[in-house]
Amino acid sequence: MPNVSTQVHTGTKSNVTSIGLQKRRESITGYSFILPAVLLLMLFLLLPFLLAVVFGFTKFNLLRPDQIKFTGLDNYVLLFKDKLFYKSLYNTLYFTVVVVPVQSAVALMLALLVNNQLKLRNVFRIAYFSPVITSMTVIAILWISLYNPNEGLINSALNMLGIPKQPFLRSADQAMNSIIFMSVWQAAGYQMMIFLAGLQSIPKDLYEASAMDGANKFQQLKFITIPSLYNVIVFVLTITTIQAVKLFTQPYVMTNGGPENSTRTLALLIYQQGFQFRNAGYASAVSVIFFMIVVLISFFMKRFFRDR
Amino acid sequence: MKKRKRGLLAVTGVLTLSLLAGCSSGGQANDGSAGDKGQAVQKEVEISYWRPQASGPEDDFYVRRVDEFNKAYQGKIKLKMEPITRGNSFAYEDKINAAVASHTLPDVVSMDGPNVANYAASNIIIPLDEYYTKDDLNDFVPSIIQQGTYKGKFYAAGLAESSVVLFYNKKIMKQYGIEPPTNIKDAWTWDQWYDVMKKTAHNDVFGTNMINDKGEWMTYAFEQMWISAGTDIVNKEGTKAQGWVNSDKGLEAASFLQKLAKEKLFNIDPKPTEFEEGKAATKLGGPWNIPGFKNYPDLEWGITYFPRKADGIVTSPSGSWAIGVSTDSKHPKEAAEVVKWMTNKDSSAQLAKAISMPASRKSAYDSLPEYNELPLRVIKEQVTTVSHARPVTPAYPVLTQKFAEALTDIMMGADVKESLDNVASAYDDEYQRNFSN
Amino acid sequence: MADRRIKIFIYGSNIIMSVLFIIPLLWMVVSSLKPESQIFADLGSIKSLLPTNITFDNYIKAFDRIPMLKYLFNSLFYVAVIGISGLGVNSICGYALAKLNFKGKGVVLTAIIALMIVPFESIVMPLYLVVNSLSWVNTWLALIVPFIANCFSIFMFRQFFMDIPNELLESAAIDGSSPMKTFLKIVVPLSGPVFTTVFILDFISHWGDFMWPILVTTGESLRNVQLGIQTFFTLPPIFYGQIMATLTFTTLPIVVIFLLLQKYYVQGITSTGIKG
Repeated sequence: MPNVSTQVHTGTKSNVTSIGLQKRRESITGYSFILPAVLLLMLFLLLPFLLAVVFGFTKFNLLRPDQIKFTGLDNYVLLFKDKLFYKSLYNTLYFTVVVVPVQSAVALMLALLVNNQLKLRNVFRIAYFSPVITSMTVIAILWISLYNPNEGLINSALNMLGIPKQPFLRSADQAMNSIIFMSVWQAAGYQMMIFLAGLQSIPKDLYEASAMDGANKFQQLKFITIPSLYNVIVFVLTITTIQAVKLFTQPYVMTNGGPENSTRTLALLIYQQGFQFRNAGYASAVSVIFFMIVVLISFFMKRFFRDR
Repeated sequence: MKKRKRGLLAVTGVLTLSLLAGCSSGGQANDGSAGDKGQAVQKEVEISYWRPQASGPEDDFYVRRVDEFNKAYQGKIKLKMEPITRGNSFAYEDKINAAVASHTLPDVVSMDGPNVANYAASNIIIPLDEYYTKDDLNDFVPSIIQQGTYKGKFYAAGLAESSVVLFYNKKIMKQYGIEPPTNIKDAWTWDQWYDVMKKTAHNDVFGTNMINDKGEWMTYAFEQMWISAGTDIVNKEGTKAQGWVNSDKGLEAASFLQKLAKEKLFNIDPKPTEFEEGKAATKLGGPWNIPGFKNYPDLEWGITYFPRKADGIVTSPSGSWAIGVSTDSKHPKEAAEVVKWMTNKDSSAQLAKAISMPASRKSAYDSLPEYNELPLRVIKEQVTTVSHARPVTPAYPVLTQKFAEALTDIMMGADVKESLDNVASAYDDEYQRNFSN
Repeated sequence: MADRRIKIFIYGSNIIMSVLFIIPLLWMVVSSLKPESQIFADLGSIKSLLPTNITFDNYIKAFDRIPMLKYLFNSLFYVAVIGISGLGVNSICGYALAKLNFKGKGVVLTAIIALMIVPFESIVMPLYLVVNSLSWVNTWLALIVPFIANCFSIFMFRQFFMDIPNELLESAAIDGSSPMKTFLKIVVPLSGPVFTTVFILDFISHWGDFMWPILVTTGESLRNVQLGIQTFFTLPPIFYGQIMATLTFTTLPIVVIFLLLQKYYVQGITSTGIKG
């Protein structure tokens, strides 16, 4: 059984003949394969990002592009004195730490539930995926109504259980957790799709062989499914983390960062400063710090995965 | 190392290039279209015009008025209008920002009232004083002049006005024997309004419905309570919020709102149709609500005045989309003709008819007899006599955002003084940093 | 016996969970078929999910207000172009990062993961300046080209291609297959699920495009479905029935595409088949 898990992610190097020539040929192939994507990314992602980095050292009001002025580290000094920045940073990290494991686990569970030959599997798949494709307008109306502190369905249910009414989104203590709960529900279908693709890529005969050896479903899950999904799990955790730190839409439509900034995230702060207040320079500085923090996190995550 | 240097070079290169390209292409776009035609037909000038896309009848009005303009100015000016999606966000403003950064603004541009000062202070739009006569300006209702004027110059004219009134459910009023005032002198005070709410709120019916949204509405509607109390959320010059938004009178207004929330006299997250379904006895709303009422045949509604403070003045919100001429325009004179046309008496009256919003010109009411009778008379009285525009300040985006956040927090139970102090310091910091010179 | 119990358990959990997840979609569709005044009156009770008083009024009025079919076509066109060209550009890049050795590979991969972090809000203005300096504003190019290469897709392809056994690729190489041919003839056919997933996820993310199209398009000709929907929010009175109708109409294509692509989710290769 253990050799199954190792087989998946240790590739053996090709057998060695005329190494030099082959290596060079492989390099050229490699470069030509990545060239189109890399060129496009440099022009439309890296370059704008570098421009944003430059803006971070300027005073740049969007309505006054001609008065752009180099101000050195002013924005950064301001930022490190801004209480709202720390609050947003804390909220962002809190959200991420809670949501990433929970949402990934829920997504994996959903994927396992629909990775089979059930007649209705396509119906179930679209059901789980539906919150991802349903307009945020619709979802916000329903959840705000569910969470309504006076007459919401959740409060009616609590009432029947003898629990007093809760303010949910309208209290600084509960708003972020309410957003987390709703976010997991809303976005798990997204990760489910990725897990599903991973599950579908696991060779069938691994299961057949283990079944012949008398393994039950739970043993199969532990010894075949999870180890075979290693690369996919790394991918899902990485992108869920990245999406979580970029949290924007849910608080934007549900609470707009309130009450008392308890759901203000860094992405909301960047949007508010950069667009609503038109302080593009300051917003860019926040982006840069935000970027550096996340890179740092992913650096540690990478080490964590490598150690295993 | 080498790579790094090249990267930096490329960045600065593109930065300058794009800004330059922006400048030149913007210029060409405006010149080009006009120039080409200018040689073919005599000297027809093409004027471009952006406005936010609206609902059916309003869009029809714009199309018709632009057609009529093009007929009236045939051979001289050709007006080309582009409706821009606005939605319930800041999309239209984002687009203006982008166009400013690349110098691709149209000749004539629509903007929401509170943005006028911001655009004027940033030299995006030009003063229109030389194009309007005194009499012509005097025909606008006072709040239009107030919202369009920055540092003594008139920059943008409003097509329509708006107002906030107190709708009431007639059946519920009758049930409790309440007679809402029909004369502006008798407008309910906050305490009287509070009593009405107390009487009418029970079970699943709220005393009032007053949360349209938790964004611009909060400033638009509730700044008036500061004004009625004898203060405002910033000083007259718009340079300072400290001592205004968080003045004692301001605290009193905010505390009143908090009291209503604490006693659950209104729903913090109401359905949009709460009042229409008879689940709220009164509603702070505007003329825009009226067309929707007809979907609810059971609803009998009336209008009374925006409540005032006991010893304070009667006042009501106002403000609307306005149009001005962009600094980028190569033909300011012709562009100003467009602004004048779109805001003249005929336009004002026709738009008011099309969308059930009050007219921006006094003379337009001559052709709108429905505004002489109740219930619409209340709106006309407010618009033409007691309305106040939102603060005219280039730092308005920060003011409205922070004020709306604070008010929302206060309604949810946050400390009144602390919340308003935060607004004051956030606004004053922003003003000092970006607009004090 | 155990298998049967597990099957019942799986069915049961699926049914319960599905209901909890699909309610909003259901509510949207049902509401689109109701008279305006009933939508919010029913909210909060089971009635909100039952289609009573069915009417197509909302659809008729909504289609009367905006040329929805045209917007739908626009969206389908440019989102499909992004999705399909993205599959080509990103899969081949992901493949090189997973299976080929060349200098700087690690740096490129790290950079791609790092760039995923950048929130779109923080680069949208500089990106606008770049696109404007290319004179692409008000063209399809502005809506499509910047989004073909996609860090997320590249990374996902790379992770999935990692799992393809090297023996398979080597045996093809020994048979004289060029790297491109190996990729097309061996890797692509094995990767139905990942191609499908990347396409679906890319598709839905651009189906929701709103802010960017506003910035780079003026006028009707390039307008997409999201801009169409936003028209209904512009000024009060806001008619939610029409909004629900439009949303239903614009969500439908995603559901259809999703279901059509399900057949490409085929259980993967068998490991014994590889060597033979």
